[in-house]
Amino acid sequence: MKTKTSFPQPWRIQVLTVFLCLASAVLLIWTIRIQFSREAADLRQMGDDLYQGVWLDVDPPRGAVLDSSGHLFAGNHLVYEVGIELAYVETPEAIAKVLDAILGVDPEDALAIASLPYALDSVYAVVKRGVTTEQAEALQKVIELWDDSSQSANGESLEGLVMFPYLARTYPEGDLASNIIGFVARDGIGYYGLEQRFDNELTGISQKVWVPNNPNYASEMPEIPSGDSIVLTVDREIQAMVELQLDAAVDEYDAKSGTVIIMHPETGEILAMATSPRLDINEYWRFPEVYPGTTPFNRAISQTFEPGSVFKVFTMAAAIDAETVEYKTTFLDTGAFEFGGIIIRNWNRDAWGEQDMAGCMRHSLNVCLAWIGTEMGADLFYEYMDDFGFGHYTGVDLAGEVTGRLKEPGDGDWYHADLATNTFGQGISVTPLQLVVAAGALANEGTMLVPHVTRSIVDERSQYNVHTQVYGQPISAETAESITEMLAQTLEEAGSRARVPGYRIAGKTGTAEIPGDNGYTREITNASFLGWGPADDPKFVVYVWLEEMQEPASIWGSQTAAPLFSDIVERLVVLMKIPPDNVRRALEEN
Amino acid sequence: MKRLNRAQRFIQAYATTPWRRQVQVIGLFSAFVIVVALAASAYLWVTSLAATYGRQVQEIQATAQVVEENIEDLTVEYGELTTTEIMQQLAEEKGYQPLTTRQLEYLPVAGFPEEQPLVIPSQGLAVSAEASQNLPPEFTQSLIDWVRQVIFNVSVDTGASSAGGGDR
Repeated sequence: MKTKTSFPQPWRIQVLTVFLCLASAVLLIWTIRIQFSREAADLRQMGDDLYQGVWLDVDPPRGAVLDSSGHLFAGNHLVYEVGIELAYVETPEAIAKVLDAILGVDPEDALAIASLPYALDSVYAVVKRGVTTEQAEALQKVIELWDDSSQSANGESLEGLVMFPYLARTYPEGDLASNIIGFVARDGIGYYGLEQRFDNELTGISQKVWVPNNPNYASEMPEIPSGDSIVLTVDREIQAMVELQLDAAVDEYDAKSGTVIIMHPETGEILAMATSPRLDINEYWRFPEVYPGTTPFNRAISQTFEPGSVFKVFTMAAAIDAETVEYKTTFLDTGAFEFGGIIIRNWNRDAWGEQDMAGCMRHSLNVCLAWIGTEMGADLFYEYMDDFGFGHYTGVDLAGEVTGRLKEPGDGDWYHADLATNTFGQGISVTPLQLVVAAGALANEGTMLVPHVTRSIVDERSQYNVHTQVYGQPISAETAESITEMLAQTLEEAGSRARVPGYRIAGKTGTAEIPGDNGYTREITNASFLGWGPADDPKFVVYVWLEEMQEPASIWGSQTAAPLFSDIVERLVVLMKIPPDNVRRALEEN
Repeated sequence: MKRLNRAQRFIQAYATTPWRRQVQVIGLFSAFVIVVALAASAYLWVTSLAATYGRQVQEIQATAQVVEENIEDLTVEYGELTTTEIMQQLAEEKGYQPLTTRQLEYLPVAGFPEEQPLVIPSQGLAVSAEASQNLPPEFTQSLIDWVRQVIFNVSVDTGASSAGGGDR
């Protein structure tokens, strides 16, 4: 019979076994503890952050700006940032040499950048931004050919030199309508004009996007919509025509600057808004050169001045609407009118005898208008001027608009004499756009509209069309018609140089003396013309302003601004497809 | 003593024979290893596929980004080629001159459409409309719609058959 043999286990082995078991248990527990510790989680997170992917701030492409027919005013083009990844640089001298040859970077600057020591907080250095596609392609070619070249054999290397493409703002039309559009500077922020006013809409919404390095985590990238695009009411053909005429006039008359605004009185749409000089917004860094000191970027909305005689239009409209005077009311002009401690005189210091209201406007009589103002009384006069929007924002959708100043009774610096001088446009400051908007009431049956340069805002899914907004009704339709007829008649009778063959135009010249430290100067003036037409069914309001006119060129608006107005309107009616009055009437009858 | 039948005897013999027992254990272990290997292979295959497609997705996304940038760039290039200055210059080179009011003749044309305000097609809507046209109904139709369509088609077919029958 077999017996089972048992081997006695020595106690040492038992102790060793227990010890090893305990040690294993401790190791296991310790391992688990480490695995689930906070530090381990942080380490895992750090590893993920470094190697699993990167969080990128993705800026959508900035929206485009188009004219009323869809021509591009502002878009984005591809440019490159050239930089150096410091950890990989082997021969900084070679990099500096290539950057100098291809990008024109100062070799000393390039060498200094390429020689920067690599550190955890210093891994990449920008050499140049805004590198054109042609330059980038040339640089890429050099990098690719470098390995086979003799320089490479000599141990020179371009390792570390890298390029990244990005979209940068550009303006294909250069300085055309630049005062309306504004610009985007290097910081990506819009300045002036539309670029500033609609900066948020154009920029779109940036998003933080996780871009995995690990393809297993690749997922659908969120769709980031582009910034909204903006369609303007401005017609580039009209704008270009106006700028051409304006630049020529500023040059011919040696004016300090010029401004022209064209608005559709029935919609408030700005068809053109030109200033001279202008900035090519692709070179926005030349801003201080073109607009020295406090010169505004867009004089049409940001510069205030005393309008002079064109303002008489509004005084006369107010007086007729308030029934202070009638069309046929007469006034005996003695050449001087005393009010509030000052004596008002006419522009030529003459007495013009008995005049009806049309005569007062035709001869632009300060004395007559001052009398009308005093007949109205300060309260009524300023109420009308308030209603016309003077001293207030017009609400135009552009950045940088100012209000001007309409002193009123009760203001510390208002005197009784101001009532008399304000009636013919002295002692009051306005912007060119305010005059156009107020004249819109005269051209649109008494209804003033809010001016706007934006016709539509287009996003990824919809197009929002800007609607006409009423600013107010300062005068009745009858008054508007009466003033239009009066001004059309005076232009015809005076043989004004503002007339346009085939079209009946209403308007008024202005020659404003400029206030200085020693009172008004007669040698330097602001020449202007405010007009609208066709008189029986106005489709445009045009304001022309030539700043600081002086001899030897004429200082008179009738000899400078009026012919410029005529030149512009003669071309404008063709571009707007407005037939001559007789043709239009014949077509309407048919 | 109870007598085992033939099958029971075979099972007992197979189960108790020592060398068969070893084969059984080895077989089971091998089967386990094979299953694990198969599962690991399947896992590797699926993960490699996912990684490949993931990389393709990333490449397509990068390409889409480049295409979008190129579209923006080409739009600007087109704008630069058709600026007012260039177009005027081209017109002058071809002998055109700006019209004056005296050269224009206006004629009434019945039904001539007025100039319409610019409407920019919405990108999102355009894409979705195009996509819906390209996708087969399986991807765009709900189950209920499909059932309705089938029923409707059947009824139409039946009707057509009846009509055809009538014609005969």
